[in-house]
Amino acid sequence: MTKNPPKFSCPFARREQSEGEPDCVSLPENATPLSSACGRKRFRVCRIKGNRRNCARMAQMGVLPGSEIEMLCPGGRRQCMFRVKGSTVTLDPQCAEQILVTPL
Amino acid sequence: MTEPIHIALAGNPNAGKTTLFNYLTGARQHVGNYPGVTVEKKTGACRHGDTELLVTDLPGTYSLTAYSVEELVARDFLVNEKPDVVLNIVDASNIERNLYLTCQFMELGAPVVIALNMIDVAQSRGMDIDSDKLSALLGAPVVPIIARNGKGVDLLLETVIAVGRDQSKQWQSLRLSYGEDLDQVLEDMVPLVEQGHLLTDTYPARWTALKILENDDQILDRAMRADTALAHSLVTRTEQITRHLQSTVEAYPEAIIADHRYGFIKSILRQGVLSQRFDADRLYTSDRIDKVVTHRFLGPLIMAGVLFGLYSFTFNFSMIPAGWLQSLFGLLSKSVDLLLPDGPVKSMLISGVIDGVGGVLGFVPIIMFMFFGIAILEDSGYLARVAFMMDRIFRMFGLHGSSVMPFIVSGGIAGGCAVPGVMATRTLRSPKERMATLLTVPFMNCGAKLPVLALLIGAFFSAHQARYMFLATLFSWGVALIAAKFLRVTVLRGPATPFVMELPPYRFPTFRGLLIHTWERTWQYIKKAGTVILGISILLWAMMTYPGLPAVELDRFEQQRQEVRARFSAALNSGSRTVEAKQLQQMLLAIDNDQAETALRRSLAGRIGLAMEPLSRLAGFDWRTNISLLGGFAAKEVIVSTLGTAYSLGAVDPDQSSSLKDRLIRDPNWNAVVALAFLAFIMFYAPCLVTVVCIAKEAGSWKWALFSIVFNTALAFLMAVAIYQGGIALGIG
Repeated sequence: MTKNPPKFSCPFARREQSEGEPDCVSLPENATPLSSACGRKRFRVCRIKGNRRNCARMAQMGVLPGSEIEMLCPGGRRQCMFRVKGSTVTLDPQCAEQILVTPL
Repeated sequence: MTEPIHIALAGNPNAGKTTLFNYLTGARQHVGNYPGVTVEKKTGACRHGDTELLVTDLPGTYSLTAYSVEELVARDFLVNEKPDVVLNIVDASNIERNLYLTCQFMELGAPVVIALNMIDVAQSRGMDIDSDKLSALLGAPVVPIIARNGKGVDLLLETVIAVGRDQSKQWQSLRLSYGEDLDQVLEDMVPLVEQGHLLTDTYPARWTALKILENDDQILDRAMRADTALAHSLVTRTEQITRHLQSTVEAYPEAIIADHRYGFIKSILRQGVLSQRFDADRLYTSDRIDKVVTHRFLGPLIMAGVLFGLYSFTFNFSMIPAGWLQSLFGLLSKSVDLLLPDGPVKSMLISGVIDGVGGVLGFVPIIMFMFFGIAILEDSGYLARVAFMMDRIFRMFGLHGSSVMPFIVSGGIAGGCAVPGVMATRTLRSPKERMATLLTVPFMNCGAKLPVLALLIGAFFSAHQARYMFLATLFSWGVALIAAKFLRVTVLRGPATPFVMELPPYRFPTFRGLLIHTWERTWQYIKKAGTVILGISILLWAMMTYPGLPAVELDRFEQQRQEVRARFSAALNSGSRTVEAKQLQQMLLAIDNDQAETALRRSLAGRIGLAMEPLSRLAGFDWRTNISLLGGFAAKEVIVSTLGTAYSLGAVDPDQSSSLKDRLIRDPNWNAVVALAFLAFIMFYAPCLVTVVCIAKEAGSWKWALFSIVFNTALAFLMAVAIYQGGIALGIG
């Protein structure tokens, strides 16, 4: 049995984007590292940098380009805490630095 | 009789696997509201109707890719044991994330039954889940349950039995699409895997190809060992597509695969499976609490307050039952003294068994109250927040955020055990961070050190017991972190690894759960006191009693007694009965004490203690204290019992008998400075024998186990000497 993914979920190339959704393949100007994102705001993940294992780990936790995250405790130089796909996830500053987001 | 059905309980951390396992099997597995409670699989059995169910509780995982030990354990069990049913516990209140793992079970082809757990929590959050529709769309049975109270579990078991008994069922893989590029590569790779029979006896061909695309270390390694040429060609193909994806979308294949899995889940949920009655974006109570509890400034203050409150609770409420137990053992000691004639049996029962084991059991109320407090913190989810807050500090000392749990398990809040703490370091990925954690977790105040701390703090700092206990905890953390930093900049130099952790939601602990956890741990302590500690106490008593005094010495003491009695008889005849009787009693007691001390000095343990005394005196420890420290190498609990035995051998008159605490206070060799130096030494010297064996096993070498003995003892001795000499120089003591 083969199931096809819906069009709206994939932020990567060759997919149909929803109306008004930012293009995450080319990095938006207002993209900032998650570690610098301040305030209790909602953000959209644009890109995940860093080594392959780190990217895979993030993807498994649901932190993927296109995912919406809600900041619970802004990071800065310390650990940040945010909600993604219904879970509360914490990251150290080095990891948060690798995730580029844009405010929603 | 029908064949038993093999069930694997699998799911995300905190989804409720262990709770369901305990409910089904009646087991008393430890359940904690933080990730990584179940590192290894556990098995149990239960019966539903006439069917026997063999249940295996697998570690909580987020995926089936080899990123962690838990994932490897879960995956290996599924592919090697091929259970009849994979009972996937899904947290209904966090359904999207949890179904990610479900997707992977189905990709592997396992026969899945989904237990939609915590459906009440989901409803309280305004989430309505149509389980029938979910079942139809996923192609697997879905049963809503509440594992905490067993609601829906009967229907779940009936469903599991029906799937388990279905003879027609086969392991059939779910085929998801991962986008044009990756689908094409899979189309190319799968026939090659099938034709080359690459790991096909264990894994489905498409799944092997998918794992190679996901850069799964274990599968790549196995494939290379099975067929190097074929594996190389598959890796080459993977590298091509990875380069292509990197240049076009700046993503690795595994990220795109994950994205498509989440897309598949979302598509299902949006087909009427999940409807939200409230605003989906609102903050849950858990998040609101976190905003305060993990606040940059308030968080550490709250944490310090909570820990201090735990110690106050423990000491304020446990003192009365502890006093009862102490009186009970005192009464027992007196009864044995009255009933039995003098001799080795009486000495062994009083000094070896009652003083030894009783000394340890006397602390059961303190241990029980401490464990109860820790169970509240753990089950409520607060301990995971402690880990979150401590991560930043841990990084400064070269450790990883995941090191926090092994520290807490080992006794970071006092009352744990270093053995599971050492084993819990398996969750650390970096070998050097793991080794640094492994070597420093024994510095925590485990349950065995707790009685020593309670004894000495109670004896010499009784006015501020909770405060000193709290300071002892902070001190143990401080020394452990500094030692870790020292190791990380010297023998264990290396880069830091990233910290990623999912925080469980806050939950109200159930009273039953709290009692189970408290009793489990307290019973382990009592059991240890009745077995290992009893054995070691008797052995140490024997070492402290034999070879005994030679006949010449015994005759000398007997002669002294006769001389005194002769004088007493003369004095009695002269008429001054009361004064002379008291003098006689004191003189006879002095002879008895002199004899007991001479015997102890000449015993095997006494000789070892005396040989160590020139060195140990630098830290203020006399030869009797040295004997207890030797016993502590075997098990830390023995320190109290050995002190009890060593100090009771000199007090043979029942009228003069008193608790060990009182004896230490009265002893001229003991004072507050010696007590502090002794506390420091106990907290940091060589780990107990079981922990040393565990370190050797986990580190894969006895070299590190030996290192921990030498390093810890040297460090502890230097600290004890510094405290004692400093105290003497300042005129305290």
